[in-house]
Amino acid sequence: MRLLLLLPLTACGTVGSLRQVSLVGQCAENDAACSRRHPVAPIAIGAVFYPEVSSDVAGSTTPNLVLESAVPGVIAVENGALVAKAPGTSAVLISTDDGSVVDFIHMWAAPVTKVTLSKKDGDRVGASIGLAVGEDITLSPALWNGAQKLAGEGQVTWTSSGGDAGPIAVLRDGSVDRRRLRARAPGKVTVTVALGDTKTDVEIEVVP
Amino acid sequence: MRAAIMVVTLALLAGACGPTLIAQSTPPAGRVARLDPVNGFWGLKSYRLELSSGVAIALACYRGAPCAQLDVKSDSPNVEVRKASIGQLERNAYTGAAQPTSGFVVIGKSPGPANLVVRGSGKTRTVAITVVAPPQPSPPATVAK
Repeated sequence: MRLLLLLPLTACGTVGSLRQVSLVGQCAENDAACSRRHPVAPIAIGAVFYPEVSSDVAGSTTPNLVLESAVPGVIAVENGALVAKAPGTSAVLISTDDGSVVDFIHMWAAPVTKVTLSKKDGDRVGASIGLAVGEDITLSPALWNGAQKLAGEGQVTWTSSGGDAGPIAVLRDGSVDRRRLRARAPGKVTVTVALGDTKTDVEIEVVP
Repeated sequence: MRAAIMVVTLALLAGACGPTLIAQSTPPAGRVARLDPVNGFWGLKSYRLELSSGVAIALACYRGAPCAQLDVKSDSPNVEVRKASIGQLERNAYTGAAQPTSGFVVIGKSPGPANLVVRGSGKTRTVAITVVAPPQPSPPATVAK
């Protein structure tokens, strides 16, 4: 029974070409914010993917592993994280500290053409949201290239047309890109979420 | 007649003396990582490897058994070669003993030619590599105006 409960946590991730190492995202099935960190999709250019690497070699626990990129101009390794720099693919080598390659995974980088917002449960947010004063809602941005959802945490900016003292407070919740919007006073505002030149707007109406 | 057969047999054995390479991985979609044998009159002469830049391929080395004292050298910065640590056993064709797979990884760094010299179990084999540039993204097709 315990194994069944663990299935949603372990079913995601990418196995290396030699089937010895996997990059795993430990996310609950419906956690939309966490699912963006899975390496199963291309990484959005400008976004950072934080991998969790584990090996599956009989008779050995995971050794000290080092990540290296074949083409750092496409995907760079910075402080153990993967950063997408330009469109394309690059092998990411997973090596022991003596340089022996234990496995490698080809990872893709793609530009962001669209930003969408979703609620914590993964439901996509449409054009407008209504909130009562005192209510709050947590929104996560999703990055897209056409119909392809992208992975990685982007340096997304959040701005409210009402400013800092407007009807909505835009609060950080510990995540780089996710925000909690708290309704403070009645009124209407537009919240703009942007990654570079790509942005999306959501209208929020706060009622007493 | 017997002498001629001996000469042919010895020549065939000499031709088959170098290590055999076997690809252990596949390329990603739209990219290439293809190893082809180049055969001469006496059998396998060398290998030809076509590789996209940014792509890696794992190759296993055999000479009746997993290659001992494997050493691989490249003559060009167009490719990088790294020792692979492959956690599986292969059977030695002579003794029947199981030995760890011996292999290496070739990484296409930049378009252009390169040559590898693979030395395993005391014998060598060459691999002529062509690293090709990744394809340019095609513009979206116009379906209707």
